[in-house]
Amino acid sequence: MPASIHAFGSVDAALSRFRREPLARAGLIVLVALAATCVVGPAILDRLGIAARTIDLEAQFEPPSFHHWLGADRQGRDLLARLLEGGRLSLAIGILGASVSLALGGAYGAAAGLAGGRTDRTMMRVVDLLYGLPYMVIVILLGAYLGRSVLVLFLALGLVEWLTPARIARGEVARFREREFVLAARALGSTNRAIFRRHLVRNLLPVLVAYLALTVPRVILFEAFLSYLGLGVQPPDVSWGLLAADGVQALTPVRVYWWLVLFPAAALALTLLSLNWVGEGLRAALDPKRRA
Amino acid sequence: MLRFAVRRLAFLPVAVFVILSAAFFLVRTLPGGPFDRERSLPPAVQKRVREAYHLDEPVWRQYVRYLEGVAADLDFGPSTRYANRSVNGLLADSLPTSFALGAAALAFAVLLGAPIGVWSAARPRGALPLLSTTLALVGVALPSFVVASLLLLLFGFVLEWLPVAGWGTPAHVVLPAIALGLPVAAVVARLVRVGMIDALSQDFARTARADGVAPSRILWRHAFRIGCLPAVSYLGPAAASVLTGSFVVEKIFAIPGMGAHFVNSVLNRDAPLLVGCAVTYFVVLYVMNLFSDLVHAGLDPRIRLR
Repeated sequence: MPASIHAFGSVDAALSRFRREPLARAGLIVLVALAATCVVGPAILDRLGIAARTIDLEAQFEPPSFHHWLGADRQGRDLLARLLEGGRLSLAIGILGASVSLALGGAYGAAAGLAGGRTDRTMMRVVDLLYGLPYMVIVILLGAYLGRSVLVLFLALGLVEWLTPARIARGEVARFREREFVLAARALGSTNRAIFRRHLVRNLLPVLVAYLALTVPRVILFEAFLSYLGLGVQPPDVSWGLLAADGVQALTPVRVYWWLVLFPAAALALTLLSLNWVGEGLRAALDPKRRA
Repeated sequence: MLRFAVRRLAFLPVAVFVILSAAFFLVRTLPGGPFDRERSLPPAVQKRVREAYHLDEPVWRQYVRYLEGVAADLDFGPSTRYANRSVNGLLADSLPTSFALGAAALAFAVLLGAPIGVWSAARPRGALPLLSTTLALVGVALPSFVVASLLLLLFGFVLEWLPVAGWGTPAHVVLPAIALGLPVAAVVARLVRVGMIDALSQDFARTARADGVAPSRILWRHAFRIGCLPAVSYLGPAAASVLTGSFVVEKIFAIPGMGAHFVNSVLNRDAPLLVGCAVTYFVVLYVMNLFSDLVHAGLDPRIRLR
C-alpha cells in the first residue's frame, strides 16, 4: 500500500503552520502548564498540610493570606487546593465529554456521507430534528436512569454535543466521496468500510481534532451551567463550574468575597480562551485553502 | 426562492409532529410522575387528581388525546404543575417578555459584534484586536451566570445606574440584554472577522480596489455582503435560543420569561408544558433558519436555493 494520502498535505507542514500561529502556541503552553499544575499541585499542597476537603471553620471566608494563598470558602476550605482538584475534574469532563461527542458524531456523520443518497438525507434530517429538542431533557433523562455520577455526566454532555461534529464529518466525507483516490479504491473493489478505515479516517481526523479543541470549552461551560442548576458535579466532588457557581451565590451587595468568584472565573477563562486559540490555530493550519 | 420557502414551510407540520411526539414520550419515560413531589394526598384524592389529568390511562391513549387537542385547536393542554393554568396561557404570558428581551440582546450583539469583526479584519494591528480579545474573553470563556452576576453587582448595586431586577420599563431591559447578548456578540465578531478576511482576499475586492473604489465603500458595500454570511448562518439558531429565553439570565434578573419553563417543566415532569416549550422553540428555530437561508441567497448572488 502506498503512503497515506492526505488531502491536507503532510502533517508536518500543517504542524509547522500551527507553530507559526502565536496565539495558538501561547494557548498550548498555558494549557500544558495548567494541566500539569492540576495533576502535580495537590500532592505538593498535601506535603504542606493543605487538603481540598479539610474543613476549618476558623478560616471561614478568609481572604487570600499566608496560610490560604487564594483565600478560603464558606467552610474554610482552601481555595487553591479546591481549584486544583476542580481543574482535574473540569479538564477530564471537557476532554472526555468532547471525545464522546466527536466519536459518536464523527461515526454517524461519516456513515451518512458514505452511504449517500436517500439514507444520507434521512440520517441528516434526524440530526436537524434533534437540534430542535431541548437538551435539558436528555441530561435529566440520563441522570434519572443512570444515577448522578461523574461518568453519567460525561455521557450526557457527549450526547448533547454530538450533532455539530456529525454535520462536519458528513460534509467532509461528502467532499471526499467523489475524489479520485476514493473512486480508485472503489474501482479496485474496496467496500465502504474498507474505504472509510483506510482512506477517510486519516482525512477526517485532523478536522475533528481541531473541532475537539473547540468542543472542550463548550462542554466545560455546559457543565458549569449544570452545576449552577445543581445538576452537575455533586459535592464533595468539585469542578471549576461548581466553584464559580458557589462563588456567585456567595456574592451579596453587603459583603463581596471577590476571591471566590475571581479565581475560579480566571481559571475557567484562561483555560477556555487557550483552548479556543489552539482550536482556531489548528483549524487555520489545516485549512486546505491555505495549503502551500 | 418563493418556491423554496413554501416547500420548507410545508415540511414544518411534519417536523413539529416529530418533535412533539419525541418530547412527549421523553418526559413520560422519565421516572416519577408530576404529582410525586406533592405532599402525600389521601389515596382517593390522588386517584381523582390523576383521573382529572388522564394520567390513569395508558401512555398511548394520553398521547392520542393530546395530539387531538393540538391538531384540533392548537391546545397544548393544562399544565400539570400550575393549577388551573393552560400551557397556552403560560406561554402567552412569558413568550412576549422573552421575545422583547431576546430582540434587544440580538440587536446589541450584532451592533457590537459586526463592527468589531469588520474593523479587526480591515486593520489587523492596533487596539482593535485587543478589544475583540476582551470581547471573546467575556463572551466565550466565562459562564453566563458569572457575567450576569458581575454586571448586576457593578451597575445595579455599586454604581446604582440601573434597576437590579424586575421587568416593565426600558431600563429593566439593559443589563439582561447585555448579559444575554455578550456571548452572541463574541461569536459574531469572530465569524465576521474570518468572513471579511476571506472576502477581502477575493477577486471582486481586488478589482474594486483597482477601480479606485473608496476603501470604506469596498469594506461595507462590497466585502461585507459576502463577509457577513458565516455570521448569518450562525445567527439563525442563535436567535432562536436567545428569543425563547435563558434560564440563567431570567433567574438572576428576576424576569418572568420562558427560559425557566424549559428547565422547570422537565424537573416537574410537566409534560404538556415541556411539549409546548419544545414546539415553540422548534418553530422559532425553523423560521429563523429559513430566514437565514433567504438572507444568504439575497446577499450572495451565487447562491441558488432549490
